[in-house]
Amino acid sequence: MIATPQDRAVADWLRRLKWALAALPESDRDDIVAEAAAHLEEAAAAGRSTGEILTGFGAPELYARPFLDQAELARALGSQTAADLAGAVARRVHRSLVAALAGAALLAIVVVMFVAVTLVVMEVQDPIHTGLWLGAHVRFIGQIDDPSIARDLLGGWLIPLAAVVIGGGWVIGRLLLLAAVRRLARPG
Amino acid sequence: MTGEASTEAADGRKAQLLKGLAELALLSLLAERAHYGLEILDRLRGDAGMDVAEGTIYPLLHRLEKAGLTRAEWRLETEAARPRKYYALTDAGTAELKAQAAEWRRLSARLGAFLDRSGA
Repeated sequence: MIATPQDRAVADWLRRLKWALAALPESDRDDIVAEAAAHLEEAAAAGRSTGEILTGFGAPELYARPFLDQAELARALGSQTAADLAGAVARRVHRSLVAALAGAALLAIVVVMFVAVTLVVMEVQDPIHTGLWLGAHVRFIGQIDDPSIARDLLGGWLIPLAAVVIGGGWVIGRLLLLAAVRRLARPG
Repeated sequence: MTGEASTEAADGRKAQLLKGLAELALLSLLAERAHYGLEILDRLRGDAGMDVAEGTIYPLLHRLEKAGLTRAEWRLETEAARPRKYYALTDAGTAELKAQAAEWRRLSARLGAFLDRSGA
């Protein structure tokens, strides 16, 4: 049998699709490619033009994208590690409202956790000057130049409180990411 | 010019509406019996009047499968040259179809009544 230009176009399209799906597990990739190959062959046998069918599929790289998207979300939900979940959300902030909102909320949580960590470091290095200061003219959390002008409302509670904020931030952040990725993975 | 532009706009509106409804039509189709991709495409186009493309239907089928709404299996039938991947509805898919169909009927009835109020 001589390969017609149509056959070559189909083979080329399938080869590019396989290449575009390289990030997927082999069985998933073969499944998607075999399904498209069966469709192309059967639709052509039914009298449809190859060009028309390939146009329906779109460029292989574009056709591959939703499969890669789904696989990434499924992988993040499977591993449930903070890095996978955060990565899946971060790569969608520019094209998904859910991801953008989750990203903004997560950023706020990370900032609060960072402040808590900084305060713990300050407290360890300089417990005398670090605290939640309330005086006649001052009201802040951090390091004070002259501890005699204000009262430290937290005292020894700063580190336990910071630990609660850091731990709570981690738990809430993870739950938020998990909920966001589940929402992104939902059909429709 | 104006005619062309308005046809284009109408196509755009239709595409937006169809995208959301393709899933409902697909679930309804699979409730009949298991179908394979090309057959799904032909029936959604022919019977349901939905202008869906290959590039839309397969990712949707895989997403529904991953979500547990459909179950897929490769079958080699005597009249077919190649194995075909058949999709069937799971119990979760049947429940989803009921919920989506009820929602669509409620929505279309209300919107229909709303559009009819001034004969527009």
